[in-house]
Amino acid sequence: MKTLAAQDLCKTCDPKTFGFRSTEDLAPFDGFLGQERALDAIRLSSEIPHRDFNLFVLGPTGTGRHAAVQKILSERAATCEAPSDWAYVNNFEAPDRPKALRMPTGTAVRLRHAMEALVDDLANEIPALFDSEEYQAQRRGIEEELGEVQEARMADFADRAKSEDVALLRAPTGFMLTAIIDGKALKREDFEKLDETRQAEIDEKISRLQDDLAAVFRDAPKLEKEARKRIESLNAKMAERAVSARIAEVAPDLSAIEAVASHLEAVHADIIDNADVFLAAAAEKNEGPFPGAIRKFHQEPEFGRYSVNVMVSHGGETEHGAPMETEDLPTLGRLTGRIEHVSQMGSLVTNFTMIKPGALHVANGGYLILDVRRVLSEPYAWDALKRCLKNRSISITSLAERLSLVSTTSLQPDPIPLDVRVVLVGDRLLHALLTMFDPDFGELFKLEADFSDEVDRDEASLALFARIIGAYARREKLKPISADGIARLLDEATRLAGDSKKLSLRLGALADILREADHYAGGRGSDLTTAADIETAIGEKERRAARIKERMQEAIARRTVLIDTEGAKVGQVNGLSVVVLGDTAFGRPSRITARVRMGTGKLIDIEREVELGGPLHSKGVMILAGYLAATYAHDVPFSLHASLVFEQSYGGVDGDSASSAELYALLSALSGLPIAQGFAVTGSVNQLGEVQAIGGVNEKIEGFFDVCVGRGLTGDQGVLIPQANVEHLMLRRPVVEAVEAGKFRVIPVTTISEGIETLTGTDAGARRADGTFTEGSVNERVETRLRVFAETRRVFARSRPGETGEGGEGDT
Amino acid sequence: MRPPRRILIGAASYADARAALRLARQLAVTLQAEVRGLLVEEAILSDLPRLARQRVVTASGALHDVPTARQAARMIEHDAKAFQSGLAELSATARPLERRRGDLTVAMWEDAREWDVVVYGLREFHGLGGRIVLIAPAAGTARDAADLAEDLAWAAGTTAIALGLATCSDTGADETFPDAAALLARISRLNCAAVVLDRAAGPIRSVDQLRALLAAAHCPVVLVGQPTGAVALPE
Repeated sequence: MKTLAAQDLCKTCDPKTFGFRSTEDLAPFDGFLGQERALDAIRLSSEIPHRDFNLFVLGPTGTGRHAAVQKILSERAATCEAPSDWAYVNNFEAPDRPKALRMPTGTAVRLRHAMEALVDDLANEIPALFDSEEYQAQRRGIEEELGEVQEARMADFADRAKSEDVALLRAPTGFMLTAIIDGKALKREDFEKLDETRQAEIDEKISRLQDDLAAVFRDAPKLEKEARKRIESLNAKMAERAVSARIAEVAPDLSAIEAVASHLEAVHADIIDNADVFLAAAAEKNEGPFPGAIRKFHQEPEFGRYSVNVMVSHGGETEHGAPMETEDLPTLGRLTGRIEHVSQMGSLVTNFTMIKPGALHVANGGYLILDVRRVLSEPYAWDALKRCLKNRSISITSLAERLSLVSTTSLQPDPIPLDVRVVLVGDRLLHALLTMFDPDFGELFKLEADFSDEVDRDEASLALFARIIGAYARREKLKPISADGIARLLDEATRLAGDSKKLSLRLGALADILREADHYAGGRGSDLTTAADIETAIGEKERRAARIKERMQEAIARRTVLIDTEGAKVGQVNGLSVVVLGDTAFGRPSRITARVRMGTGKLIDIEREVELGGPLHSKGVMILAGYLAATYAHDVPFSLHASLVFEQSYGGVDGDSASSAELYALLSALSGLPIAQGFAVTGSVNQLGEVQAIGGVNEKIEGFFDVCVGRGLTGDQGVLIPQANVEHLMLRRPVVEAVEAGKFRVIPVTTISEGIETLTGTDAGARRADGTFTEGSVNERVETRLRVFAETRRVFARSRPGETGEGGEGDT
Repeated sequence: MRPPRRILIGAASYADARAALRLARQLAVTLQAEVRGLLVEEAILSDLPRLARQRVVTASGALHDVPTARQAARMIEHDAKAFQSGLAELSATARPLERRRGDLTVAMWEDAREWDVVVYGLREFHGLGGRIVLIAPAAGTARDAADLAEDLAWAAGTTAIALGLATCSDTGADETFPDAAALLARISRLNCAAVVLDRAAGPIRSVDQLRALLAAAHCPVVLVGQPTGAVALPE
């Protein structure tokens, strides 16, 4: 029986080998340890110009994914040129299709201010121009000239009528003509006294003159139209002078931008066409609280059409390089932008000034970092993100529109071209699911940065890790850590890795321990965090999470849960399992029992029968059954009926780490040899009888150790573990000390034979040339028992002809 | 000038009254005046010969049949209501509309003595705004009329022009004419928004002279001052 020595149970750092007193003596290091694969992928994604090389950063939390991404991308972004500014402006011909203006970095805000100044200036100048005597005189001139034409026509008619002795009378609905005799209007009775010829003559000239008068009146609208045209032309000429002068004052560098120049032309034409807007605003000039001279006309709703909606502007005093943005709440609207509406008279209205930028706009030309879980959690956000990346443009859609909740016609702004590198950060499960089920994902996110959980533990990595811890402490303004504190922390990193040859890269967990230790160091007035503080922090963390563990231990101590730690029993062994609660785990022994009798080769896994056993557990049981069937009594029918169970287990069992323990219980039951109850067993078995590695070996050993400690260590207690797990051992100090004192043992085994020998104290036995096992060995006893079952069954079958036996042909 | 406080608006139809109401609106605001309306149904219209081809020529140049007596009565009722509403909008202190049948020119001339400002409503023939025409006094000064003309011109965003007879000296006229016929001929061809004159200062001092002016004006005529004895005009 091979027993591990104390030094094999936990690898420790010797602080004397570090060469420093505390982390204050260490040069800072703000790089990353053991993540070269992932860092190279991030660098590639940040540098490669080709599209669709977006990046998915995967790995467990606390491994520095976000920090690495931020660092590398920000360094790269600083070397890039700042991208263009973007703004939306009014499309005067189609207001529902706002135009996107692309401008050099830093110019969008200047353009906005320039337009505001333009509007304010013209709002003062245009009314003044139209109030001027020059304009008024010209306008009056037009009206008087054309008015006099009409008056002249009317006067000519009146003269003509008078010359024919006809007068013009006003009636309620128009004008009537009547003959005049002796300077007075001809009355009816006087007319009837006239002869017919005279009457006809009067009738004829009245009729003729009526037609003439009607013609004169019909010409009036034409003159009015002519006057309107000439006044409009006059207005345009007057406005043109002011508008041209002011637009020419817009900064030459802005006007030199083609897109801006084109927009200014459109503004120019629109202002001239809508000069009356400026006049109307001026009419309200004296009604507001501020004098007209300082009133900000550009803020009035009617002048919103000339404003510039800056979507994104770069190149300010504090902005350099390409943008690097993070969106913590990646809803559809916050990602791709949104179009807001206001309610007016019961309707929802909008315009180009209500377009709001999203994260894609702000990050355009640079980098956008998103948490993939949050993106996938937001309705339509993932779909929109993919669409924008595929189309290489940002199109704004509202959630209500996607859900067909509104039929309000909204805006269709020019899509803004998109050139962005998206970095998604998430866990491996989401990456796997997206890869499997989303065909677009692989096309759009061609790179993955896979962050490792752990790094090899060697001198170089230990030294670098120490510097990383020191740098973290400085950054977080923690106390320096002593060399022994560093050593303790590094050992804990190995413990977290669950492998004595590795260091865990889950820096978040280590940082939490360090910060808590810093607190304890401060509590005792120290200016240095030592190993004792680290130990306290680790212990306190375990204690905080230990309520359930302690309840379980208490149940065992009080024999509510039956676990033997002394004596020997046939068909009974202590198995070990790990209970995981959040980020803590602890080991717990379970009694495994096996019962056997003659049967038809059926091995009942009671856990599986009642659906408390998971598939992996069932697989383990089937494997051990395969081992049994292949190892013993090949020449007779397998006539065993056996049952296996985890006693007092009501919560479900999975995994095959107890399959060797189950096999030991069966072998004990078959051979009739008792198993020493001072041992607990963990390890999975294959069909060849080899004991294979399992997980959580440290917690399992410590769980049984705690039970034995509670009852008092006898020196005959210990745990059998797979040999393959020896290099994973990082046991807590009490276990190591007990082993050192010879009060507890950790025994590695490679085969079932080794294990059964340890547990029963009997030779396992080898098969001899004649096919039999060594006499008195465990294997010999097992095989003998199985043969007896087979013979008994044969005899029984012969004595009851026609019956095939109990339960029919069974299988294991 | 002591601000006139009483304005009489007279018209033969609402179409004519509308032009006068627009003018009176400015007068009422400027002068804080009491306003009254007089609608006179022109008797001559119902006494015209029944010609086979007699028509009414509308302001848009259409020819309509002459309304029957019943139709004419309905029209005048409608006009009266509209005129009354216009007066109410003009002034809260407007008195109820008075209605008569007869000759508007004569009725207004006779009632003029009781009122500070009398406005004859005459519809315009077109929508092109014109100038305010002041008929310069035959003698002396007519500051009230001149001030009123300036006020109306300023309110309408136009200018005032004074026309006078050459025989009248020192009237401050912009244009002078040898006789009344020439002056009226000029007025008939001017684009006027309103004609303003002082009854006391002349040169219009009789009903016939006023009738001739009304025929030439094609716009509301505003009389200020009290008429004195008739002064014959050189023909």
